[in-house]
Amino acid sequence: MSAYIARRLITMVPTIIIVAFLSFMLMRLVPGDVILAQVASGGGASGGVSSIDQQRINQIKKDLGLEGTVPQQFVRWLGGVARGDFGDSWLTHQSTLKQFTRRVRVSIQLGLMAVVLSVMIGVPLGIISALWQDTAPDYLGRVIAILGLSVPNFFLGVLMILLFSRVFHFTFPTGVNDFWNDPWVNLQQFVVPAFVLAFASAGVTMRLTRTSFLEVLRQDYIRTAHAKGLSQRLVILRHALKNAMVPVITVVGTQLTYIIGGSVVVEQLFNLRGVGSLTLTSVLQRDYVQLQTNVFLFSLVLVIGNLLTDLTYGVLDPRIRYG
Amino acid sequence: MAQSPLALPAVEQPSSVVRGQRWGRRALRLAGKKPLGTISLIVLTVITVFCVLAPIVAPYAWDDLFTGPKLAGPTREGSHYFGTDQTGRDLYSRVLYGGRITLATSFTATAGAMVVAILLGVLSGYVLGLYDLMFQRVSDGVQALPGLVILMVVAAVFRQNRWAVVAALTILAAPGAGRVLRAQALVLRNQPYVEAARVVGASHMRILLRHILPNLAPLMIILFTVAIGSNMLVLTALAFLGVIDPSTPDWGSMLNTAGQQYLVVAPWMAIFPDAAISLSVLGFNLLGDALRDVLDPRLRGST
Repeated sequence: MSAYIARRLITMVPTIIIVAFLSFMLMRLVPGDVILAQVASGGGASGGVSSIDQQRINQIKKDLGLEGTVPQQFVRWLGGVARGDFGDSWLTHQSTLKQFTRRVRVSIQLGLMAVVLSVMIGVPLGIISALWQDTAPDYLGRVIAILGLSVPNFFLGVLMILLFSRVFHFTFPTGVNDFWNDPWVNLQQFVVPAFVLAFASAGVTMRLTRTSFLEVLRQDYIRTAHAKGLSQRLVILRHALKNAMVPVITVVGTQLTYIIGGSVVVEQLFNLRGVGSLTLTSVLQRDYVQLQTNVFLFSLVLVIGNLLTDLTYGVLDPRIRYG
Repeated sequence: MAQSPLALPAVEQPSSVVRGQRWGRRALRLAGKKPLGTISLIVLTVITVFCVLAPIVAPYAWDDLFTGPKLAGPTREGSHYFGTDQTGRDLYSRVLYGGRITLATSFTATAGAMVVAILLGVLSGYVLGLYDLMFQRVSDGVQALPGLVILMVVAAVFRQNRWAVVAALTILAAPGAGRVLRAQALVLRNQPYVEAARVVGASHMRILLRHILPNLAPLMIILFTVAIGSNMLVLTALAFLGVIDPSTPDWGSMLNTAGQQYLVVAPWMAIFPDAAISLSVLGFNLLGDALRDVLDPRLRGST
C-alpha cells in the first residue's frame, strides 16, 4: 500500500506543476493595455493614457508580479506561493489568500452538504432501480436521474426560489450565520442551495450505483450467497452493497469539479458569500490577482481530491494497487 | 416476376433502391425499439429548425421594443406565446433567436473538442511512447482544472467575448473525450485486422484512416451527443452569471439580471428560456443513451 501511495504522490507532482503553470499563464493572457486602462481609471482627474507616468506603470507591474521575463515571473510567483504569499488583490489591496480563506467556510459547508445530499438521494435510488429493474420504480428513478443531468442548476435554483417565495412565503435568511452559533438559521440558509447543487450529482451517482449494482448482482458470489440460503436482505446488505459501492466512491470524488463550478452559480442565486461568489465578483471587476489565487487553490483542492479518491479506491479494491 | 422457388434470382434489383429500403426499414425498427431516443431526436430537430429559421418563424425581431404591453404573461394576442419582458420585447422571438446562439456555440465547442480529441487521443493511443505519456499528463492537468471557473476567467480576460469562451471550452472538453478515444484506439491497434494491414505493408496513415477511425465512429457519435448537452449547460451557466457579452441574447443570458429581477413578477421571463435549455439537454442525454445502446452494447448503462 505504501508503495502505491508513493507512486500516486509522484505522479501528482507533474500535475500540480502543470496546474500551477496554467493558472499562472491564464493571467498573462491579459492584454498589456489592461494596465494602461487600470492606470487611466485610477489615475486622477486628468485621466487619459497620455498623462500616465512610467513610474506608475512600473509600480503596477510590480504589484501584479509582471516584472521581468515570464519564467522569472513564474519562479517568483511559485516562491511566493510556497511562503503563503499569493499576492495582493488589485481592488482591495488585501492578501488574496486571506480573502479566500475568510470566505471558504461557507463554500465548504455548501459543498459538504451537497455531497452528503447527493449520496443520500443517489445511492438509494440507484439500489432501488437495480433491484426492481425494468419496473415502475426503476423508470421513475431513471427519469429523476436524467432530469438531474439535464436541468441546469440555475433553473432548479430559480424554481426553488419561486416555490419558496410564492407558495410558502418563505424568505431565505441572509448574512453570515455560523452553524455552531445558530444551527437552525444556518440550515434554513443552506439546505435548499445544497439541494440544488446536489441534484445534478445525485443523477450521476444514481446512474452509476444502478449500473454497478446490476453488474454485481450478476456475479457468481451473489448466486452462491443465495444458494447457501441467505435472505435477500443479507445478500444485498452484506455481499452486494459493499462491492457495488467501490466505483460509486470514485464518482463522488470526480463530482468535486462540478461542485466547485456549481457553487459559483448557487452562491450567486442564494446570496451566499463563499469563494464562488468571490470568484464571480473578481471576474466582473477584473481582479486578476485574486482570480489567479482562486484558480490555483481550486485546482489544488481538485488534485488532492482526486488523490484521496484514488487512495480510497486502492484501499477498497486491492486489484487497483497492483494493477 | 414469378419464379420457381429453386431458381436463383436472375436479376438483382438496382442496389441503391434496395439499400434505401433496407436503411429505411432498419431506421424504423430502431425507432420502434428506442421510442425515447426517437422522440428526443424529433424534439431536437424541431427546436433546431425553429431556431435556425427564427427570422422567418419569429413574429418579431429579438430587439423589437414595445411589441406589446410590458411584462405581459403568455398570451395568443399579438403572438406573445411566451409573454413579454420589461421593455415589451416578445419573449417567444427572443427564445428562438437566443437558441441560434446557444445551439451554435454548443455545437461548435463540441465539434472542436472532438476534432482535438481525435487528433490527440487517437494518435496517442496509436503511437504510444513519450507522446502518449505527455498526452496523459497534460490531460490530467487540464482535467484537474475547475472548468467553469477557468472559463469565467477567460471571459474576463477576453472582455466577455463569446467565441473566446467557446475556444477555451473546446480545449477544456477535449481531454475527456480524448482519453476514451485513446483507450479504444489502444484496443483497436492490436486487433488482428490491423496487424494484417500492417503485414501487407499499409502505411500508418492508411491504417489510421481506413482501419482505426471508421471503427471509432460509433464511439465518437456517442461522445459527441453526450458532450453537446453538458457543454450547453456550461455555456448557459456562464451567460446566466453575466460573464459573457449579453448584448445579443442567448438562453442563458435571458435570465441573467433582468430575469432575476423580475422573477417574482414575471416568472415566464425565466421559465421559457430555462425550459428550452432543459428540454434540449434532456434531448441530447436521452438520444445519447439510446445511441449508446444501439451502437455500442458494451458501454450500455455506463455513465
